[in-house]
Amino acid sequence: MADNKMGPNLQAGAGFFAKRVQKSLNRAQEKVLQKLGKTMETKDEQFELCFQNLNKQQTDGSRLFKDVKAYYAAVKAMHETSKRLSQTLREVYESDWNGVEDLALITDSEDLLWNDYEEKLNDQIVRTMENYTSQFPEVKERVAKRGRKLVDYDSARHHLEALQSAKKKDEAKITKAEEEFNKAQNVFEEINNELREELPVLYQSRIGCYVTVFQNISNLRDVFYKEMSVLNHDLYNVMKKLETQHSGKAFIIKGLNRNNLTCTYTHADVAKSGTITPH
Amino acid sequence: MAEIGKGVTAGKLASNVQKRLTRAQEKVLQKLGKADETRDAAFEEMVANFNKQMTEGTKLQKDLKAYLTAVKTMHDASRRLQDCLAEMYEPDWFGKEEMDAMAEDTDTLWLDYHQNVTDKSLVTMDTYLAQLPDIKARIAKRDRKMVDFDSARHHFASLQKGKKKDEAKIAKPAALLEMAAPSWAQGLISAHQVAQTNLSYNQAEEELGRAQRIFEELNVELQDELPALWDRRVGVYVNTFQSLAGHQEKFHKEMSKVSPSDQLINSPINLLIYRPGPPPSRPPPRLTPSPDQRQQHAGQLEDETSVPDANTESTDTALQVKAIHDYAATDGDELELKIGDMVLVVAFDNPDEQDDGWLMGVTESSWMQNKDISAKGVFPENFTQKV
Repeated sequence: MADNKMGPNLQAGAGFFAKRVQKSLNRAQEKVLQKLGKTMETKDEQFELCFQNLNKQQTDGSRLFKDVKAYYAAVKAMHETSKRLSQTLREVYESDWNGVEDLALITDSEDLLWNDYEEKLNDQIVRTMENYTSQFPEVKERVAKRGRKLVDYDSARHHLEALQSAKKKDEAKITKAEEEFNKAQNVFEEINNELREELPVLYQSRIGCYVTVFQNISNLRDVFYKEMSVLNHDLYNVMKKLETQHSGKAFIIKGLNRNNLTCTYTHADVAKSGTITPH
Repeated sequence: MAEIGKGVTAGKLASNVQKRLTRAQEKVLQKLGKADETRDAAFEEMVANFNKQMTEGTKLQKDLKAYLTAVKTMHDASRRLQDCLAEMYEPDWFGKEEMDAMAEDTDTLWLDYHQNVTDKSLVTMDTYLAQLPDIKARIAKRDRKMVDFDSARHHFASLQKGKKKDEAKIAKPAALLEMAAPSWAQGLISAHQVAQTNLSYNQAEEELGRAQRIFEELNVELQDELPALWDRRVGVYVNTFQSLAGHQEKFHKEMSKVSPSDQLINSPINLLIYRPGPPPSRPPPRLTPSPDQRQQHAGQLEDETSVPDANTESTDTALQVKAIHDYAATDGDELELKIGDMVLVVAFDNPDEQDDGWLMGVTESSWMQNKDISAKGVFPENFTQKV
């Protein structure tokens, strides 16, 4: 109906008007897209901070893991050398010496204590750090993926912008570009939102990890030291008993040479007379 | 021993008392031969023991050194871990100074332990072992001197045997020579021959005596020293291990004492490092209660003559919480919190006013001071913990 009433001028006017509306619509769209571009820039800066934190967290975690492993290795070395010392002592211990059975008991207990300590260290600390550090490669991979999707998103945006601001608009292309743009946007937003939630949580979790590790080390160490000191005391007593048994053979640290023979008595003398008679 | 003594001095007999010498020597040598054998078996055992004790001692020393190396490594690894923790510790976290002090104490303990074990146990072993090579050398020398003695013996014995033969051998030619010799040389040749024979014989005798003396001296010394040394090893082991065990006990006891203080332990670890998330957002500032309303409340409280009891105020004031993190009030109606503050929770005057995650309460200290809850305020729940 409107067509009949409208004169040719009006028709032309309507077309002109429609064009103008279309133009301003497009321009609005343009502006939106431009603004989106700016927003993305800002958002990316914020993400950059998250990313830096992630890197630092990974570095710190790796360092702690390395130190924890070194600690564990050191504990094993102490165990090994301590055990060898004890074994040698047992080897030189004559069967008629005081405390030979006690010695066996003590050294066995010490070994058990060491094993227990090592095992717990491994479970509670080494494994913990291992699990903690193993989660980073995957996260970093996803961050990289986000980066790629951002690039896709950005380029889709530019493409659309370019098409819309062209002198001659190809509606078909624009529509297609819009579709692609939306798709790229969705894909990016999905992964972006995931990471935006996860990364701060991950970053915060470092505290729990560190706390766990240090508290566990502290506790395990305390228990180990307390129990080990008891065994040390027992060994001390065994040595004291041995000393008493052989008190006739006091150790004289002197240079022994022909001109300065300092041996004042022999075992035979003590055994015979029951007292110590010098030559 | 008496026999040997006689034998030694017998070697110094005048060379012209040959018959007596020969017999005596033979006797002595016989006895000596027999004595050598029994002596040697016993001596072999002593030497075997000596070697055993040297091997044992060397192994112990090696093991002890390896242990000390491991101690040093452990110390380093422990310190590196401590450094890690110290670096992660942010300056405003609770307990930094205490942790640093602990780290220093631990470091000192490690150093002392290593030093003590080195100074006491290792030095004992080192000193003990240092004297053994000399004795080993003397045992070897005794062996050589024994060989010398034996060969001198055999040489002398063979001279003795050969002497009679020689005398018989040269008797005839000497006699012939004598007959052919001019008158002035009569008797000289035979005398010369006799003199010659006697000379080598005497020489051999002297050498034998010397060799025997040297050997005997070494032998007697070692026979006294070796058993005593063997027995003394017990004392060395006792000293070494008693000292080691003593220092270990001391080290372990003191290390377990350098523990985090009660504050660091008993409060949940959150107290150390907890960083609560931001307090939940509150809707735009509510209208603060009008001053008269406040007065009314306060007035009501003052009217009560009974002992102020938080329980009568609301239904859930039996709730007590403890601040696990400082909170700075950002609004007039908020409650300022310091770590460790005990807070009595009270109900909101108007339940509708309560925001999610926020509680109303008064600190125990201000309660004690004012005996009322006028100083109450709102605070974020996640900055506290139920007790």
